[in-house]
Amino acid sequence: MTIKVLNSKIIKLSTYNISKNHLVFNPMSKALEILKKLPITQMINSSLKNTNNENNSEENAGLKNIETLIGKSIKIKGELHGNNNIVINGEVEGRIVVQGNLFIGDQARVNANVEANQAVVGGNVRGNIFVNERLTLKPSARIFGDIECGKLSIQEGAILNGKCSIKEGGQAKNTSEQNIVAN
Amino acid sequence: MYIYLYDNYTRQDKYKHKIAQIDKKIIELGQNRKIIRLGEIKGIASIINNHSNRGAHGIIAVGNDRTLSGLICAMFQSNDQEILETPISIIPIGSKNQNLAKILNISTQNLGEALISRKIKKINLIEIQSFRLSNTDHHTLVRDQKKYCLTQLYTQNREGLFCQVRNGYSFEIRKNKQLRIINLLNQQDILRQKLNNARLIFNPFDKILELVIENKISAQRQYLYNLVNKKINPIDSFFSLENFAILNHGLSLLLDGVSEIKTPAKIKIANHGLNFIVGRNFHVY
Repeated sequence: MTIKVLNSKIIKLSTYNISKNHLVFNPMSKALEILKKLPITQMINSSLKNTNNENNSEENAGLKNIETLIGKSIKIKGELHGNNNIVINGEVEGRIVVQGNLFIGDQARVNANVEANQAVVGGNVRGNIFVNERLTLKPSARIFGDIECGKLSIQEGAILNGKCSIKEGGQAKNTSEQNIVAN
Repeated sequence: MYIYLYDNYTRQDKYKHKIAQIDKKIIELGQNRKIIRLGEIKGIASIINNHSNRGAHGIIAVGNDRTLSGLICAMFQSNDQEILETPISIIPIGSKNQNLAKILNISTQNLGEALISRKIKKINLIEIQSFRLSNTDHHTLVRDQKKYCLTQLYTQNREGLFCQVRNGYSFEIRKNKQLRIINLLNQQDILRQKLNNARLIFNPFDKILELVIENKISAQRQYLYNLVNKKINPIDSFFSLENFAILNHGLSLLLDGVSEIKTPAKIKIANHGLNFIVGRNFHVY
Protein backbone atom coordinates (compact mmCIF):
# COMPACT_ATOMS: atom_id res chain seq x y z
CA MET A 1 0.00 0.00 0.00
CA THR A 2 1.42 3.34 -0.98
CA ILE A 3 0.11 6.68 0.12
CA LYS A 4 1.18 10.08 -1.15
CA VAL A 5 1.95 12.29 1.81
CA LEU A 6 2.18 16.05 1.70
CA ASN A 7 2.09 15.97 -2.13
CA SER A 8 5.82 15.58 -2.24
CA LYS A 9 6.91 12.23 -0.98
CA ILE A 10 5.59 8.74 -1.55
CA ILE A 11 5.91 6.59 1.53
CA LYS A 12 5.38 2.92 1.65
CA LEU A 13 3.32 1.88 4.62
CA SER A 14 3.60 -1.58 5.97
CA THR A 15 2.54 -3.16 9.24
CA TYR A 16 5.48 -5.45 9.52
CA ASN A 17 8.38 -3.81 7.73
CA ILE A 18 10.95 -2.34 10.01
CA SER A 19 13.54 -0.44 8.08
CA LYS A 20 15.26 2.89 8.00
CA ASN A 21 13.53 3.86 4.74
CA HIS A 22 10.03 3.01 5.82
CA LEU A 23 7.76 4.37 8.47
CA VAL A 24 6.59 1.67 10.81
CA PHE A 25 2.94 2.29 11.40
CA ASN A 26 -0.35 1.52 9.76
CA PRO A 27 -2.28 4.67 10.35
CA MET A 28 -4.80 4.92 7.52
CA SER A 29 -6.62 1.62 7.79
CA LYS A 30 -6.65 1.76 11.59
CA ALA A 31 -7.74 5.40 11.54
CA LEU A 32 -10.59 4.64 9.18
CA GLU A 33 -11.71 1.75 11.37
CA ILE A 34 -11.71 3.98 14.42
CA LEU A 35 -13.49 6.74 12.52
CA LYS A 36 -16.23 4.41 11.36
CA LYS A 37 -16.90 3.28 14.91
CA LEU A 38 -17.24 6.79 16.29
CA PRO A 39 -20.87 7.54 17.23
CA ILE A 40 -20.84 10.87 15.37
CA THR A 41 -19.81 9.22 12.11
CA GLN A 42 -22.56 6.64 12.45
CA MET A 43 -25.03 9.40 13.20
CA ILE A 44 -23.91 11.41 10.16
CA ASN A 45 -24.05 8.37 7.89
CA SER A 46 -27.56 7.45 9.03
CA SER A 47 -28.81 11.01 8.61
CA LEU A 48 -27.10 11.26 5.22
CA LYS A 49 -28.73 8.04 4.10
CA ASN A 50 -32.12 9.56 4.92
CA THR A 51 -31.19 12.77 3.12
CA ASN A 52 -29.92 10.91 0.07
CA ASN A 53 -33.14 8.91 -0.02
CA GLU A 54 -35.07 12.16 -0.01
CA ASN A 55 -32.97 13.64 -2.80
CA ASN A 56 -33.23 10.48 -4.87
CA SER A 57 -36.96 10.29 -4.39
CA GLU A 58 -37.38 13.88 -5.57
CA GLU A 59 -35.33 13.05 -8.67
CA ASN A 60 -37.39 9.95 -9.24
CA ALA A 61 -40.53 12.05 -9.12
CA GLY A 62 -39.02 13.85 -12.12
CA LEU A 63 -40.05 17.23 -10.79
CA LYS A 64 -38.56 20.39 -12.22
CA ASN A 65 -39.63 24.03 -11.87
CA ILE A 66 -40.52 23.63 -8.21
CA GLU A 67 -42.52 26.63 -7.03
CA THR A 68 -42.74 25.69 -3.36
CA LEU A 69 -40.51 23.38 -1.34
CA ILE A 70 -41.73 22.67 2.19
CA GLY A 71 -38.89 21.23 4.24
CA LYS A 72 -38.94 19.16 7.40
CA SER A 73 -38.59 22.24 9.56
CA ILE A 74 -41.86 23.82 8.31
CA LYS A 75 -45.37 23.42 9.65
CA ILE A 76 -48.18 24.99 7.60
CA LYS A 77 -51.77 25.68 8.68
CA GLY A 78 -54.36 26.82 6.17
CA GLU A 79 -54.97 26.60 2.43
CA LEU A 80 -51.91 26.08 0.27
CA HIS A 81 -52.35 26.96 -3.40
CA GLY A 82 -49.81 26.51 -6.19
CA ASN A 83 -49.71 27.06 -9.95
CA ASN A 84 -46.61 24.94 -10.57
CA ASN A 85 -45.00 21.99 -8.82
CA ILE A 86 -44.93 21.63 -5.03
CA VAL A 87 -42.75 19.36 -2.89
CA ILE A 88 -43.79 18.66 0.71
CA ASN A 89 -41.42 17.13 3.27
CA GLY A 90 -42.86 18.85 6.35
CA GLU A 91 -46.26 19.17 8.03
CA VAL A 92 -49.38 20.61 6.43
CA GLU A 93 -52.83 21.09 7.99
CA GLY A 94 -55.76 22.40 6.03
CA ARG A 95 -56.13 22.11 2.28
CA ILE A 96 -53.72 21.74 -0.64
CA VAL A 97 -54.66 22.77 -4.19
CA VAL A 98 -51.96 22.40 -6.85
CA GLN A 99 -52.49 23.03 -10.54
CA GLY A 100 -49.21 21.32 -11.36
CA ASN A 101 -47.65 18.23 -9.82
CA LEU A 102 -47.39 17.36 -6.15
CA PHE A 103 -44.73 15.29 -4.41
CA ILE A 104 -45.26 14.27 -0.78
CA GLY A 105 -42.00 13.01 0.71
CA ASP A 106 -41.41 10.01 2.94
CA GLN A 107 -41.27 12.04 6.14
CA ALA A 108 -44.12 14.39 5.32
CA ARG A 109 -47.27 14.52 7.45
CA VAL A 110 -50.30 15.95 5.71
CA ASN A 111 -53.58 16.45 7.51
CA ALA A 112 -55.49 17.97 4.60
CA ASN A 113 -57.57 17.35 1.53
CA VAL A 114 -55.37 17.31 -1.54
CA GLU A 115 -56.07 18.29 -5.15
CA ALA A 116 -53.41 18.07 -7.85
CA ASN A 117 -52.87 17.37 -11.51
CA GLN A 118 -50.46 14.50 -10.81
CA ALA A 119 -49.15 13.32 -7.47
CA VAL A 120 -46.53 11.04 -5.95
CA VAL A 121 -47.23 10.26 -2.30
CA GLY A 122 -44.61 8.77 0.01
CA GLY A 123 -45.65 10.04 3.43
CA ASN A 124 -48.53 10.15 5.85
CA VAL A 125 -51.77 11.68 4.51
CA ARG A 126 -54.98 12.06 6.49
CA GLY A 127 -57.54 13.41 4.08
CA ASN A 128 -59.05 12.87 0.67
CA ILE A 129 -56.88 12.93 -2.42
CA PHE A 130 -58.19 14.03 -5.77
CA VAL A 131 -55.78 13.78 -8.70
CA ASN A 132 -56.66 14.59 -12.29
CA GLU A 133 -54.20 12.26 -13.93
CA ARG A 134 -51.76 9.84 -12.35
CA LEU A 135 -51.48 9.08 -8.64
CA THR A 136 -48.51 7.03 -7.42
CA LEU A 137 -48.34 5.61 -3.90
CA LYS A 138 -44.81 4.74 -2.81
CA PRO A 139 -43.99 1.91 -0.37
CA SER A 140 -43.80 4.38 2.54
CA ALA A 141 -47.21 5.95 1.78
CA ARG A 142 -49.87 5.84 4.50
CA ILE A 143 -53.21 7.17 3.26
CA PHE A 144 -56.23 7.54 5.59
CA GLY A 145 -58.95 8.89 3.34
CA ASP A 146 -60.59 8.46 -0.03
CA ILE A 147 -58.76 8.78 -3.31
CA GLU A 148 -60.05 9.66 -6.76
CA CYS A 149 -57.79 9.74 -9.80
CA GLY A 150 -57.42 9.02 -13.49
CA LYS A 151 -54.65 6.44 -13.14
CA LEU A 152 -53.39 4.71 -10.04
CA SER A 153 -50.11 3.01 -9.20
CA ILE A 154 -49.68 1.42 -5.76
CA GLN A 155 -46.22 0.11 -4.91
CA GLU A 156 -45.74 -2.80 -2.55
CA GLY A 157 -45.85 -1.71 1.07
CA ALA A 158 -48.17 1.28 0.64
CA ILE A 159 -51.17 1.44 3.00
CA LEU A 160 -54.54 2.78 1.91
CA ASN A 161 -57.53 3.05 4.26
CA GLY A 162 -60.45 4.46 2.33
CA LYS A 163 -62.41 4.35 -0.89
CA CYS A 164 -60.67 4.25 -4.22
CA SER A 165 -62.29 5.63 -7.37
CA ILE A 166 -60.70 5.61 -10.82
CA LYS A 167 -62.44 7.45 -13.62
CA GLU A 168 -62.71 6.18 -17.15
CA GLY A 169 -60.46 7.59 -19.84
CA GLY A 170 -57.56 8.09 -17.43
CA GLN A 171 -58.72 11.53 -16.31
CA ALA A 172 -60.91 12.23 -13.31
CA LYS A 173 -63.72 14.78 -13.64
CA ASN A 174 -63.52 17.84 -11.47
CA THR A 175 -66.12 16.94 -8.85
CA SER A 176 -63.68 17.62 -6.05
CA GLU A 177 -65.62 20.54 -4.59
CA GLN A 178 -68.68 18.35 -4.00
CA ASN A 179 -66.63 15.52 -2.55
CA ILE A 180 -64.74 17.74 -0.17
CA VAL A 181 -67.85 19.58 1.04
CA ALA A 182 -69.61 16.27 1.63
CA ASN A 183 -66.66 15.00 3.62
CA MET B 1 -28.80 68.37 -13.82
CA TYR B 2 -27.30 65.49 -11.85
CA ILE B 3 -27.23 65.56 -8.06
CA TYR B 4 -24.20 63.94 -6.40
CA LEU B 5 -24.58 62.99 -2.76
CA TYR B 6 -21.20 62.48 -1.12
CA ASP B 7 -21.30 60.42 2.06
CA ASN B 8 -19.60 61.79 5.14
CA TYR B 9 -16.88 59.13 5.24
CA THR B 10 -15.58 60.13 1.81
CA ARG B 11 -14.01 63.21 3.42
CA GLN B 12 -11.26 61.00 4.84
CA ASP B 13 -7.79 61.62 3.46
CA LYS B 14 -7.46 58.14 1.97
CA TYR B 15 -10.34 58.84 -0.43
CA LYS B 16 -9.18 62.30 -1.54
CA HIS B 17 -7.51 61.00 -4.66
CA LYS B 18 -10.60 59.06 -5.78
CA ILE B 19 -12.89 62.00 -5.08
CA ALA B 20 -10.60 64.22 -7.16
CA GLN B 21 -10.80 61.68 -10.02
CA ILE B 22 -14.60 61.72 -9.85
CA ASP B 23 -14.72 65.50 -9.88
CA LYS B 24 -12.41 65.53 -12.89
CA LYS B 25 -14.57 62.97 -14.73
CA ILE B 26 -17.73 64.98 -14.08
CA ILE B 27 -16.09 68.09 -15.52
CA GLU B 28 -14.91 66.13 -18.60
CA LEU B 29 -18.43 64.86 -19.24
CA GLY B 30 -19.70 68.40 -19.11
CA GLN B 31 -22.71 67.45 -16.98
CA ASN B 32 -24.65 70.12 -15.24
CA ARG B 33 -24.16 69.04 -11.66
CA LYS B 34 -24.91 69.79 -8.05
CA ILE B 35 -22.60 68.32 -5.42
CA ILE B 36 -23.94 67.89 -1.91
CA ARG B 37 -21.80 66.60 0.94
CA LEU B 38 -23.94 64.80 3.46
CA GLY B 39 -23.57 65.38 7.16
CA GLU B 40 -25.77 62.46 8.09
CA ILE B 41 -27.71 59.91 6.08
CA LYS B 42 -30.92 61.26 7.61
CA GLY B 43 -30.38 64.48 5.71
CA ILE B 44 -30.97 62.89 2.30
CA ALA B 45 -34.77 63.14 2.50
CA SER B 46 -34.80 66.90 3.06
CA ILE B 47 -32.19 67.45 0.34
CA ILE B 48 -34.23 65.53 -2.21
CA ASN B 49 -37.40 67.39 -1.27
CA ASN B 50 -35.64 70.72 -1.69
CA HIS B 51 -34.37 69.83 -5.16
CA SER B 52 -37.52 68.13 -6.39
CA ASN B 53 -38.74 71.11 -8.37
CA ARG B 54 -35.50 71.60 -10.30
CA GLY B 55 -35.89 68.54 -12.57
CA ALA B 56 -32.88 66.38 -11.76
CA HIS B 57 -31.84 63.92 -14.51
CA GLY B 58 -30.30 61.61 -11.94
CA ILE B 59 -29.24 61.29 -8.33
CA ILE B 60 -25.90 59.59 -7.74
CA ALA B 61 -24.88 58.33 -4.30
CA VAL B 62 -21.11 58.58 -3.83
CA GLY B 63 -20.28 56.13 -1.07
CA ASN B 64 -21.24 52.59 -0.15
CA ASP B 65 -24.30 50.36 0.43
CA ARG B 66 -25.41 52.52 3.36
CA THR B 67 -25.46 55.63 1.19
CA LEU B 68 -27.50 54.04 -1.59
CA SER B 69 -29.86 52.37 0.89
CA GLY B 70 -30.48 55.74 2.58
CA LEU B 71 -31.12 57.33 -0.81
CA ILE B 72 -33.66 54.62 -1.73
CA CYS B 73 -35.61 55.11 1.52
CA ALA B 74 -35.50 58.88 1.09
CA MET B 75 -36.91 58.62 -2.46
CA PHE B 76 -39.97 56.79 -1.13
CA GLN B 77 -40.34 59.12 1.85
CA SER B 78 -40.70 62.09 -0.49
CA ASN B 79 -43.90 60.50 -1.88
CA ASP B 80 -43.45 62.55 -5.06
CA GLN B 81 -44.08 60.79 -8.39
CA GLU B 82 -41.48 62.93 -10.19
CA ILE B 83 -38.82 62.02 -7.66
CA LEU B 84 -39.70 58.32 -7.84
CA GLU B 85 -39.15 58.40 -11.62
CA THR B 86 -35.70 59.99 -11.30
CA PRO B 87 -32.91 57.48 -12.06
CA ILE B 88 -30.46 56.80 -9.23
CA SER B 89 -27.10 55.08 -9.04
CA ILE B 90 -23.95 54.70 -7.00
CA ILE B 91 -20.29 55.53 -7.38
CA PRO B 92 -18.61 53.11 -4.99
CA ILE B 93 -15.87 54.54 -2.78
CA GLY B 94 -13.81 52.06 -0.81
CA SER B 95 -13.80 48.27 -1.08
CA LYS B 96 -16.02 47.39 1.91
CA ASN B 97 -19.85 47.20 1.82
CA GLN B 98 -20.15 47.47 -1.96
CA ASN B 99 -22.60 44.62 -2.59
CA LEU B 100 -25.23 46.86 -4.15
CA ALA B 101 -22.70 48.26 -6.62
CA LYS B 102 -21.75 44.69 -7.60
CA ILE B 103 -25.38 43.73 -8.10
CA LEU B 104 -25.94 46.79 -10.29
CA ASN B 105 -22.77 45.75 -12.15
CA ILE B 106 -21.01 49.01 -11.36
CA SER B 107 -17.31 48.50 -11.08
CA THR B 108 -15.45 49.64 -7.99
CA GLN B 109 -12.38 50.17 -10.18
CA ASN B 110 -13.83 52.12 -13.08
CA LEU B 111 -15.20 55.13 -11.23
CA GLY B 112 -16.81 56.78 -14.22
CA GLU B 113 -19.03 53.84 -15.20
CA ALA B 114 -22.13 55.19 -13.46
CA LEU B 115 -21.54 58.55 -15.07
CA ILE B 116 -21.06 57.25 -18.60
CA SER B 117 -23.57 54.42 -18.66
CA ARG B 118 -26.93 55.28 -20.14
CA LYS B 119 -28.48 51.95 -19.26
CA ILE B 120 -31.49 52.45 -17.03
CA LYS B 121 -33.40 49.53 -15.56
CA LYS B 122 -36.59 49.67 -13.50
CA ILE B 123 -36.16 47.39 -10.50
CA ASN B 124 -38.76 46.38 -7.93
CA LEU B 125 -37.90 46.75 -4.26
CA ILE B 126 -38.98 45.00 -1.07
CA GLU B 127 -41.18 47.11 1.18
CA ILE B 128 -41.04 46.34 4.91
CA GLN B 129 -43.58 47.91 7.25
CA SER B 130 -42.81 47.26 10.90
CA PHE B 131 -45.27 47.48 13.77
CA ARG B 132 -44.97 48.17 17.47
CA LEU B 133 -47.23 47.96 20.49
CA SER B 134 -49.28 51.07 21.10
CA ASN B 135 -48.20 53.25 24.03
CA THR B 136 -51.76 53.66 25.28
CA ASP B 137 -53.07 50.17 24.70
CA HIS B 138 -50.42 47.48 24.95
CA HIS B 139 -52.51 45.00 22.99
CA THR B 140 -52.86 47.01 19.80
CA LEU B 141 -50.23 47.14 17.08
CA VAL B 142 -49.54 50.46 15.36
CA ARG B 143 -47.38 51.20 12.33
CA ASP B 144 -43.80 52.03 13.08
CA GLN B 145 -41.05 52.34 10.47
CA LYS B 146 -41.27 51.69 6.75
CA LYS B 147 -38.09 50.77 4.93
CA TYR B 148 -37.12 49.55 1.50
CA CYS B 149 -34.61 46.96 0.45
CA LEU B 150 -33.07 46.29 -2.97
CA THR B 151 -31.52 42.81 -2.71
CA GLN B 152 -32.35 40.63 0.27
CA LEU B 153 -33.35 40.41 3.94
CA TYR B 154 -31.68 38.18 6.48
CA THR B 155 -32.70 37.12 9.92
CA GLN B 156 -31.13 35.06 12.67
CA ASN B 157 -33.74 32.46 13.55
CA ARG B 158 -32.78 31.31 17.04
CA GLU B 159 -36.22 30.89 18.57
CA GLY B 160 -38.43 29.79 15.71
CA LEU B 161 -40.39 32.02 13.34
CA PHE B 162 -44.11 32.48 12.86
CA CYS B 163 -45.18 33.83 9.47
CA GLN B 164 -48.55 34.53 7.93
CA VAL B 165 -49.35 34.77 4.24
CA ARG B 166 -52.07 37.28 3.40
CA ASN B 167 -55.46 35.59 2.76
CA GLY B 168 -53.75 32.25 2.91
CA TYR B 169 -51.91 30.07 5.32
CA SER B 170 -49.66 30.56 8.29
CA PHE B 171 -46.45 28.67 8.78
CA GLU B 172 -44.00 28.01 11.54
CA ILE B 173 -40.27 27.66 10.96
CA ARG B 174 -38.31 25.71 13.54
CA LYS B 175 -35.33 27.36 15.14
CA ASN B 176 -31.77 27.42 13.88
CA LYS B 177 -32.63 27.73 10.22
CA GLN B 178 -31.36 30.74 8.27
CA LEU B 179 -34.14 32.77 6.67
CA ARG B 180 -33.55 34.90 3.57
CA ILE B 181 -36.09 36.92 1.63
CA ILE B 182 -34.73 37.58 -1.84
CA ASN B 183 -35.48 40.21 -4.45
CA LEU B 184 -32.23 40.32 -6.42
CA LEU B 185 -29.30 37.95 -6.52
CA ASN B 186 -25.91 38.56 -8.02
CA GLN B 187 -24.77 36.15 -10.73
CA GLN B 188 -21.84 35.14 -8.54
CA ASP B 189 -23.98 34.47 -5.46
CA ILE B 190 -23.62 30.88 -4.31
CA LEU B 191 -27.31 30.74 -3.38
CA ARG B 192 -28.21 31.09 -7.08
CA GLN B 193 -26.34 27.87 -7.82
CA LYS B 194 -28.07 26.10 -4.92
CA LEU B 195 -31.49 27.22 -6.19
CA ASN B 196 -30.66 26.03 -9.71
CA ASN B 197 -29.39 22.69 -8.41
CA ALA B 198 -32.62 22.24 -6.47
CA ARG B 199 -34.63 23.03 -9.65
CA LEU B 200 -36.48 25.90 -7.95
CA ILE B 201 -38.19 28.68 -9.89
CA PHE B 202 -36.49 32.03 -9.27
CA ASN B 203 -37.22 35.16 -11.28
CA PRO B 204 -36.13 38.50 -9.87
CA PHE B 205 -38.49 40.53 -12.08
CA ASP B 206 -41.74 38.69 -11.51
CA LYS B 207 -42.89 40.90 -8.57
CA ILE B 208 -42.87 37.87 -6.30
CA LEU B 209 -40.62 37.45 -3.28
CA GLU B 210 -38.61 34.32 -2.80
CA LEU B 211 -38.34 33.11 0.78
CA VAL B 212 -35.43 30.69 1.26
CA ILE B 213 -34.81 28.69 4.41
CA GLU B 214 -31.30 27.29 4.52
CA ASN B 215 -29.87 24.54 6.65
CA LYS B 216 -27.32 25.91 9.09
CA ILE B 217 -24.37 23.57 8.88
CA SER B 218 -21.39 24.21 11.12
CA ALA B 219 -17.92 24.20 9.61
CA GLN B 220 -16.98 21.06 11.55
CA ARG B 221 -19.99 19.11 10.32
CA GLN B 222 -19.37 20.31 6.76
CA TYR B 223 -15.79 19.05 7.06
CA LEU B 224 -17.03 15.60 8.11
CA TYR B 225 -19.51 15.56 5.23
CA ASN B 226 -16.69 16.37 2.82
CA LEU B 227 -14.57 13.65 4.44
CA VAL B 228 -17.10 10.94 3.70
CA ASN B 229 -17.76 12.53 0.28
CA LYS B 230 -21.47 13.02 0.84
CA LYS B 231 -23.64 15.92 -0.23
CA ILE B 232 -26.41 17.42 1.88
CA ASN B 233 -29.17 19.59 0.50
CA PRO B 234 -28.37 23.15 1.62
CA ILE B 235 -31.90 24.43 0.97
CA ASP B 236 -34.51 23.25 3.46
CA SER B 237 -37.52 25.16 2.15
CA PHE B 238 -38.49 27.62 -0.57
CA PHE B 239 -41.61 29.75 -0.99
CA SER B 240 -42.74 32.17 -3.69
CA LEU B 241 -44.91 34.76 -1.97
CA GLU B 242 -46.44 38.11 -2.84
CA ASN B 243 -47.29 39.37 0.60
CA PHE B 244 -46.59 37.96 4.04
CA ALA B 245 -45.91 38.95 7.63
CA ILE B 246 -43.46 37.85 10.31
CA LEU B 247 -45.33 37.77 13.61
CA ASN B 248 -42.48 37.38 16.12
CA HIS B 249 -41.78 40.36 18.39
CA GLY B 250 -38.39 42.00 18.64
CA LEU B 251 -36.61 40.03 15.93
CA SER B 252 -34.09 41.97 13.83
CA LEU B 253 -34.29 41.89 10.05
CA LEU B 254 -31.13 42.98 8.25
CA LEU B 255 -31.80 44.88 5.02
CA ASP B 256 -29.16 44.72 2.27
CA GLY B 257 -26.66 43.92 5.02
CA VAL B 258 -26.77 47.56 6.07
CA SER B 259 -29.81 48.64 8.07
CA GLU B 260 -32.09 46.89 10.57
CA ILE B 261 -35.78 46.80 11.23
CA LYS B 262 -37.68 45.05 14.01
CA THR B 263 -40.56 42.60 13.71
CA PRO B 264 -43.52 42.21 13.65
CA ALA B 265 -43.39 43.35 10.06
CA LYS B 266 -45.31 43.07 6.80
CA ILE B 267 -43.20 42.34 3.78
CA LYS B 268 -44.16 42.74 0.14
CA ILE B 269 -42.93 44.08 -3.19
CA ALA B 270 -43.28 47.89 -3.27
CA ASN B 271 -46.01 49.28 -5.51
CA HIS B 272 -43.57 51.52 -7.33
CA GLY B 273 -40.20 50.39 -8.68
CA LEU B 274 -37.20 52.66 -8.98
CA ASN B 275 -35.10 53.45 -12.04
CA PHE B 276 -31.45 52.51 -11.57
CA ILE B 277 -28.54 53.51 -13.78
CA VAL B 278 -26.76 50.17 -14.11
CA GLY B 279 -23.53 48.91 -15.63
CA ARG B 280 -23.34 47.90 -19.29
CA ASN B 281 -23.24 44.19 -18.44
CA PHE B 282 -26.04 44.30 -15.87
CA HIS B 283 -27.69 40.91 -15.79
CA VAL B 284 -29.23 39.18 -12.82
CA TYR B 285 -30.46 35.96 -14.37
